[in-house]
Amino acid sequence: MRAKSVTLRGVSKSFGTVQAVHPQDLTVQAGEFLTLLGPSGCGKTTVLRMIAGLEAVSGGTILVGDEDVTSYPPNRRDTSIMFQDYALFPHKTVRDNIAYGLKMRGQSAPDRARAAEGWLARIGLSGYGDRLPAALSGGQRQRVALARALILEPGVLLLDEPLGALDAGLRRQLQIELRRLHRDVGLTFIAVTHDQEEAMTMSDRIAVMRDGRIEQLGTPQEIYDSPQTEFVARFLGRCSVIEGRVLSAAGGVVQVETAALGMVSAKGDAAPGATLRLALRPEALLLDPASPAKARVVDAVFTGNAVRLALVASDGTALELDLPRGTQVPAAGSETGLCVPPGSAILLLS
Amino acid sequence: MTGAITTRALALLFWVTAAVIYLPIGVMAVFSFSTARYQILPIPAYTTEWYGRVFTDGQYSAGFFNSVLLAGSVSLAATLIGFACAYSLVNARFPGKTAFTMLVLAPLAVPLLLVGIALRIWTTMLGLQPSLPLAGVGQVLYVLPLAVLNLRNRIAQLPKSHEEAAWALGASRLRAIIDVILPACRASLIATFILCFTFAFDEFVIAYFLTNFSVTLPIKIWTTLVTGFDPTINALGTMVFAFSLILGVTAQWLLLRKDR
Repeated sequence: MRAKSVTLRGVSKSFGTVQAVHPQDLTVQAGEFLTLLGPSGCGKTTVLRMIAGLEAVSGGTILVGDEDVTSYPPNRRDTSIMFQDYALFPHKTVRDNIAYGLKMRGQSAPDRARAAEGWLARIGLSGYGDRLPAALSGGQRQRVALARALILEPGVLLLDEPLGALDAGLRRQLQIELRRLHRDVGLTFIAVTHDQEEAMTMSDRIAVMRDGRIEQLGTPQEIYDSPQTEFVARFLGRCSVIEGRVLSAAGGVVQVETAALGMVSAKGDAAPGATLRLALRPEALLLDPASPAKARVVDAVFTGNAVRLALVASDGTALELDLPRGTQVPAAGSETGLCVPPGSAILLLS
Repeated sequence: MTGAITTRALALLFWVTAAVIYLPIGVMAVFSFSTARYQILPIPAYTTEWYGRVFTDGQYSAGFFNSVLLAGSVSLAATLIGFACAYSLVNARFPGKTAFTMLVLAPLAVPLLLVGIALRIWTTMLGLQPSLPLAGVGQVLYVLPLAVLNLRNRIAQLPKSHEEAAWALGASRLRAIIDVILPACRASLIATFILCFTFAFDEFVIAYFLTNFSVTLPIKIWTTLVTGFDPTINALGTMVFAFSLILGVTAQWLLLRKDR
């Protein structure tokens, strides 16, 4: 298999006095689809550009496969990159764009043309070879850019906001297509995005970045179900955060006394007596008129597949709760009881 | 109401300015068709004799040939060097970059007479004989700032990702410049060449100081004027003006049209 792993060892980057990326370790398995997810300015694109060789590292080493490529220029690395603006050469035809990498490898013109036709067919653009990029739609351009990067069968494909320039409907469709493409070609994909839905749909693993550091690394499910920090919890989906004091911890379950919702149990471990915070996904809270924990309904918003209730607990904490459709919606201003099923609260480490 | 008055006043100013610039040339053009040896009114009769003489007089055609050769080589050199300069100014980060930029653009601000004298003194000190190629080197210095400014603007507009994509696909730095940057700058390169050509073609001072026997057209015109007026100059001047105007307009049109 062509796919190669990528290993970062203590890789850092500073621009002048600004530390864009703090010393960072990261291993991407061969054939894996890993997404760097984070808000703009978190350093995710800088990490991607350092792997591509477009940005020099300030410290640390980068390995592609077993090879230390830290000092290699982009054209000597076994990586390809697809840019957010696709960077198609505007004066070259679609076919010449796709075949450009093969030309640089010294392949003959007939071989290049044949390979390019193959890729045009594969991306559903047969017959578009003689057009200029300007004559294509955004989605078509994106596919041409992908074909151009993949024709070299690089060990690693780097994608900088691969769907960032497209509209919402097309994005959703292409998320699935990218995922399928990744399975088909079996190469290592490393993508950068600020869109959590995109990251969750496409990736095998997600690295959530914040202020130049990887805050959490895991599968989409791990990251969503067990975020370690409030930042990660809030970045991937909605949640309410409540504070409490640990009463007891045993067998991987902690009992937490909270001012907002009374006794809540969560998976994890913590020292009794410690103060900590819990995250609650909207689906982790249930209405229970019999519960002693009361909250006042502030607003009810229809979201399509549910009704989202905004509530205020008796201690003033804001809460969110998703009511399945068909459930009786309590009136705004009324008081209601809440309960948290055991194990559905998330223990935050910070 | 004041707005309309201001607009009219500005329009008037434009036409007055245009008249001040173009009327003398228009007068020259009119007299170039006059049979009289001197510029007198009314014009006795019309003729194209002077135009014919421009082509039959060997001195003029030799000067014209020298000028085209000189301006052609000067613009070619200035466009190539200017492109290299502009590319590095946009992309490179090195200490003293601002100072370097100033140095490249400075000849625009220095009086041409001083540049001419300085070049003459300097080349004499180096033991170089005045010649057409030497004047060419001097003129490159004179038009280079134009080339650098023009091309720097264009290169700075180009998305960096195009070049980076070429690198990532295996192109060397030079290869990426040839495949990605140069085609994107095509119209600007042609415009720069034409602009440099018009400036070099009309340039008198440097050519005067750095040549001896092979004179250019502006030098020929100057010496003819000094030694006694010849109506052929009217015809020649009109032709040179028309030629320069066409080139200048073409260059501007190329620059405004923008590269695809």
